[in-house]
Amino acid sequence: MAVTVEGIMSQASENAKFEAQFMANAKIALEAAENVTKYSIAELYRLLYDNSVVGNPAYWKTPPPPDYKPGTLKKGWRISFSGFRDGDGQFTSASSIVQNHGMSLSINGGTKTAYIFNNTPYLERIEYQGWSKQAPNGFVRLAILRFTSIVDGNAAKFRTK
Amino acid sequence: MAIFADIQNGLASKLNELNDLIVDWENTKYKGNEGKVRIHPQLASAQSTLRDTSGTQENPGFLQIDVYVPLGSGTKSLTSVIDNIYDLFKNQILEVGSTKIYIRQISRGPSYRSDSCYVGVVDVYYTCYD
Repeated sequence: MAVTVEGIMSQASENAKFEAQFMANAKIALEAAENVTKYSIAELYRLLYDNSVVGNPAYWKTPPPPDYKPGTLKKGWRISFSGFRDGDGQFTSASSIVQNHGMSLSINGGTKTAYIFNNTPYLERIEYQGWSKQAPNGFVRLAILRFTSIVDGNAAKFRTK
Repeated sequence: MAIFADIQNGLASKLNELNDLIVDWENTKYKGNEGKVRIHPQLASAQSTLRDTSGTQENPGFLQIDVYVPLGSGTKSLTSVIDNIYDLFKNQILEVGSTKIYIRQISRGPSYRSDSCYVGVVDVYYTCYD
């Protein structure tokens, strides 16, 4: 087979085309993967927020204090991509959240890690000790169990063609 | 197929293999177990999801097992019971009729102190397909 300048130029052009096509596809795939991660984490966060029990004095044996406002647990959920940060933007740690009887989880999504946590000091009692009649088995672990199907659903949604 | 009854029966039967432990089953009144090492299981089923177009359903959930050890008996007895539960369920596939219950994970939750006991929590996570 004869090697010609035209042949080499043509092959180089084909290679460049292939590389451009490959890079474009890789970009689409990476964007899709990032969307799956982003939307799945957001959905888990929303699930935790939505399923958080809200104090209902009708269930209580003693009347609530006069200034009682329900919803502390629900409002206590935080999400961050730069470590565990409390409401003032100061860093805290998973161990300090556990010491405070709150709950935390970190999800490694490839390029980013999401930190979801709640520092409300009675969350552990609601989750593990059956302190809420509205959620006697807690709600955090049940939400986390849905995470795989949430990721599967988003993977199907953002699948590249 | 009674999938949820099968899950409950499968996990309860397995737990019954811990012969020397007192089990306070759910919704059953017990007397005289205070001050003794005992366990209390509670089943929590998560939302089922459709796995494929042939209609296979995935039914996940967990069995929370509270381990009660009298105060003053030392945390070693608590850890020992938790280890026994861990060994009992680890890597198991439980079968009830044609239902298979896959044990996915066993994790230890927070421990706490109640009036007369030290309590440890073990979660046994399962998945069952139907």
